[in-house]
Amino acid sequence: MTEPILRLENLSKSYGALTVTSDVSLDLRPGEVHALIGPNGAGKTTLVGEIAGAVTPDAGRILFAGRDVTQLNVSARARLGLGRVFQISQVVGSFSARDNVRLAALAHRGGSWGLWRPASSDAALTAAADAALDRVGLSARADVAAGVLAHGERRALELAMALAQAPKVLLLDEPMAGTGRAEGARLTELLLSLKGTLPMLLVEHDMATVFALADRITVLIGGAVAITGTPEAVRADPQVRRAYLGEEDAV
Amino acid sequence: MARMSRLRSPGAIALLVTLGFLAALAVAYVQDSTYWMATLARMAALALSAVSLSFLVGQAGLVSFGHAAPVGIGAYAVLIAGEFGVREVMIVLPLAFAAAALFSALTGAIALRTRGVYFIMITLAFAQMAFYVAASLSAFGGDDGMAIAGRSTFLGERILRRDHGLALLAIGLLGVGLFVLGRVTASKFGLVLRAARDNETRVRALGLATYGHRLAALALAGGVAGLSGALLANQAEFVSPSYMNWHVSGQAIVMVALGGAGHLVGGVIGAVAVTLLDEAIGHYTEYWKLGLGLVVVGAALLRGRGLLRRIVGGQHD
Amino acid sequence: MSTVLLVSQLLNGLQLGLVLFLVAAGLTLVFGVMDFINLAHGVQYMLGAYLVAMCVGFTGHFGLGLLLGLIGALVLGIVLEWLVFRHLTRRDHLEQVLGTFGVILVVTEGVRMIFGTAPLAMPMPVALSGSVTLFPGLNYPVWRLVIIAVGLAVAGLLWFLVHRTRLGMLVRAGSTHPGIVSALGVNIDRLFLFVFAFGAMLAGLAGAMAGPLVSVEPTMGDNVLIIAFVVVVIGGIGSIKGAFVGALAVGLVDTLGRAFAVDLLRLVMDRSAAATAGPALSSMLIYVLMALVLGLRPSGLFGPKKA
Repeated sequence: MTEPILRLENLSKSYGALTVTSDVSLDLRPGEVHALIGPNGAGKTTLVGEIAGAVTPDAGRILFAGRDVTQLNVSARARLGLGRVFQISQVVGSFSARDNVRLAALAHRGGSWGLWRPASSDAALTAAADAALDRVGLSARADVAAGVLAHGERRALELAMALAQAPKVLLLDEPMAGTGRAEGARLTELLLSLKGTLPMLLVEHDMATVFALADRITVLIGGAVAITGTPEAVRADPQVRRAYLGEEDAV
Repeated sequence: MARMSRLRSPGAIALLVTLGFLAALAVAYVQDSTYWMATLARMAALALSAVSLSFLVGQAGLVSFGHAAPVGIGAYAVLIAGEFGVREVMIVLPLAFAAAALFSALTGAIALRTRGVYFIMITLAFAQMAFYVAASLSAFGGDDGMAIAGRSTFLGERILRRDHGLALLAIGLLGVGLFVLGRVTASKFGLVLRAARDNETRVRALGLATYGHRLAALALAGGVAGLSGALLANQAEFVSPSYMNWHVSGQAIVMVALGGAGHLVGGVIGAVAVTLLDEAIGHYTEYWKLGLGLVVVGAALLRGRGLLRRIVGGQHD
Repeated sequence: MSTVLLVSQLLNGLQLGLVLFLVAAGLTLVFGVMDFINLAHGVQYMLGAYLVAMCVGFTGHFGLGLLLGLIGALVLGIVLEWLVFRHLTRRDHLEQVLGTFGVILVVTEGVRMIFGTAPLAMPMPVALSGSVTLFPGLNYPVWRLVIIAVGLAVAGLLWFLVHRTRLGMLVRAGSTHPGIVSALGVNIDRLFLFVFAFGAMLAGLAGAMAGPLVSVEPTMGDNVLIIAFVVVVIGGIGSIKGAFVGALAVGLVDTLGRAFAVDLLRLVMDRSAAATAGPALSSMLIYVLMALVLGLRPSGLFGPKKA
């Protein structure tokens, strides 16, 4: 039995009378894709915030790579190896795609206090950036400003940035949000190609993507974990069908 | 793309600006126009201050409304060192740099807790404090200010007494300042600084801390502004709290915005434009600020994208 | 330090605070609703003083002159909004600083061209120019009491407008959630014009009220502008309550500092040094106050949590 790389223990968070995270425990094992699903308002966004370090839980612990990171902020968790793809693309719009990935590689490799040599003349940094761009199929667009990339390309760029950080875990917050059918298919393909190389916690609305990628699925309803299990088990669970999948079928 | 390639050669830009100023100085020298030599020295000093503010505003995204403070502190460094008999450039300039950088770092440590408009205003507040502290220094002229003991010497030689000597020093410092700040902008440090300007959330999520970088940028720009103040004090041979008046900070922002904040050299263009406007309109009417104001409002209304952008036509965003 | 001196200085501080509140109220609303940084707000204060002084001189009647002057200030505010400010509202702060700084230069120099640099005499109504005995030993100028009364009345009126009317609700919502207000189908540009012109008139009123106490000159708005910004930032951008609290705090700190700084400094330094350093250091106090507030609460006392 391998030790999980990320483990949430009994997390709780309330805003006034509203409980948004209620005694949530789940873990992410090395190499697995663990999907987190739930209807709107189930508390997924808050939970992502708690994992990333933007929201402090009222109770419970978060263990990452064997360390208690509950009190660490976003930057500190990122330095420990938590890579992140945002629900709404967060890229540096005025930078070229390559400079965006250079920035991410710089964060991983260190040397951000280099005051004199131009960033573009650091061969190792550039090589790392180009490798990550190549991995997501953006090599041809490396010199284009990130702000004018197509939506799907920007999602891919975010993924390249996360990869350039050489993370221990990837936290994917609705990577399919706003993508068209073809773009979505390409992104799913890309994530599939990464599967097994690094553990991913996938928060996603798109059920096709979830069932194509996930090894295990956790369903969040009303801030609490309704069930954690294999895709088959989750699909068969009557409670889930009623609260969540039924809603999807109706659409 | 255009921006990338321009950023790549801060040396070429610095050289070009230096040569331009030197050519103008040569003409003034041949014509024996002390008026134009003095104006060029002043212009280069103001350009140095505007370039350092442009580094903050355009590259680091820190709109400081208190840039007059480090400039004034550099000027007071010359005055106070002079009163203690120290007039050597090789001592006075590093002193002006260090004093202004220290001020910027100390005030910046608090100011950087705020964002946006609050940052604009807190930098103004710190500059006002510096203004009133200067006005309270009765030993150094208080409210009225006082004349400096004499222009600085260079390795013991009094070559700055002549206007072209001082202009040469100012132009040299402007060139070096442009080059150094250009290198820093293009460096890895600058990459983080510029990224944080556009998208702080992303930079944080990458695990990069921005506070230290911004503080260092403030200190560096403050130090360069201090050098500008030391030059201005030498040029006017007089120092007073009015160096730190908030209008001076406003005018520095005008220079940066007028020239275009997208590139450091915009600071040079803005400083030259404002100084020339001052001289040109000032010849015809004592109400020259009215003309300057009209130009400034017009520039802001015409999408205020900066002279540089209009001339070069480069795409910045 | 006698009770009489302390009470009169407290009243002076209150009076200054209320003048600052009149200026800061418009500034903070324009800031909050449109995220617009208006350096030219001090110009409105100066124009108000000039217009009222001119109209009072012209009509020979203070009340009528004040009314005409304020209407003039309102109209000038609308004209400036139409000519310049509405074109700057959706720009970044740098361009707003640039444009409104230009307006300061133009208007200040324009006024200097028309009226000259010499201070203009601001007549005070005879009935209000004396002093009253508040308690034995304290004679206090009636005009300052009038300013206090007007300031408090305007503060009450603003509180009513902002908290009890539909317009006020929109303004409050606009300063925190601008998107929602436009989603409600409200013309945010017209809302801005209204808030802006009203704020300009209040600043003009402040200039007119302060006119008899200070000298009416082209640069009179400069320092008031900076201090009004200090007030807005201390109180928190967009908050009328913050502007009120901030204005009183700044007014009191500044007045008491000036009144007692030299005496306090004499405890630690000799007489002449204290006499020079005192005024300068007391001018600094409000900026120290602001740095302290922002150091502890980066969005001011009543500002939104996220700046």
